[in-house]
Amino acid sequence: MFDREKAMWDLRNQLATSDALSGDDLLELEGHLLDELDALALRGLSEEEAFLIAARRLGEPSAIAREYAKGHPIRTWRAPLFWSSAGAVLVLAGMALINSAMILTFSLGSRFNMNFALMNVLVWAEAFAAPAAFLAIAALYVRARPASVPPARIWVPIVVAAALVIVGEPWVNPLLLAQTHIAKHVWVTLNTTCRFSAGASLVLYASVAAWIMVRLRAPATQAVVE
Amino acid sequence: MHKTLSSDPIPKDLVAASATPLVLSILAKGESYGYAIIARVKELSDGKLEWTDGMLYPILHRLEEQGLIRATWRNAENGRRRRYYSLVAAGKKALATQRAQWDLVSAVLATSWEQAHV
Repeated sequence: MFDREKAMWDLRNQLATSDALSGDDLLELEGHLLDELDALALRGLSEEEAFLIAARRLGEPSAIAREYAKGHPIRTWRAPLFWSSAGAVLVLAGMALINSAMILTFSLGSRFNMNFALMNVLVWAEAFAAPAAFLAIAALYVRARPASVPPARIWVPIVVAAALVIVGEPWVNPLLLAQTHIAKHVWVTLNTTCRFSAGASLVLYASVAAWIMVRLRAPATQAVVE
Repeated sequence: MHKTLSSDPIPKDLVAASATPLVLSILAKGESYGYAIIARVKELSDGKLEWTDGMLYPILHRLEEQGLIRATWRNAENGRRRRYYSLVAAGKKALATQRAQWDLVSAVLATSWEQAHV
């Protein structure tokens, strides 16, 4: 049994995907579709037939969205920028947390004359956890493929968030810097006394990056109207 | 012979080029909304000018941004919310300019065809 409401909703979602259409724009197109459905129903078409014809006359959702986007180039950047800042804030917050724990350990350690084993653990945790967390968030984001981000801009948040994390890093930790700057990372791998750590994170980077590339290349599944 | 020629679909770029003056001239008769504008184009062209319905709205929005038409949301008789478009002074002027240009192109073509005995 054909469900007109569901079909309308699906079409609306496809049009809303690119973010180029505002709520008013969607309402306007929906009104147009309803007018068309009424006219076709008067000619004796079934709901399903009428919807198929009306949707076809309205045009391919992606093509319509492209036309709208021409008039509103800024709208299509809103969602990627939101995801960029969300990702960067998460990673920076995590780094700040570990950093606070480090300071706390250091001050408590000095006062009670503890040994600094925990401190070392935290230094390493930070150096590995921050990039790992970043890659994990990036991977989750790519997997989720938020509908509001245009497919062509899916990479934007990853690059922008990475830049924000590197710029926003409030202090300089050589090991962490090495892991956030790929060029430096390669240099460290070749020169560091601790080749194991540099090599291990290089492998980590490479494999997650490869995985993300594969995900990005996979065609986005999209329901077809007709 | 002319019959077979005129049954060929009008190429896309010609449809696109004529869209703006056509929309402006339909609105010159009074305010209207997207669905009615498309219906009017079908009627005027005897169904020969084929628009993809969804493409009209970005054109209307662009004309609104250029200050040639004005849009207002109102409730229609059937209770649906509708965005109505109407021509403003700048739009009337733009329409007059475009009309003069199209008349010129059409006149040049007509003269040229006459002389070539097409």
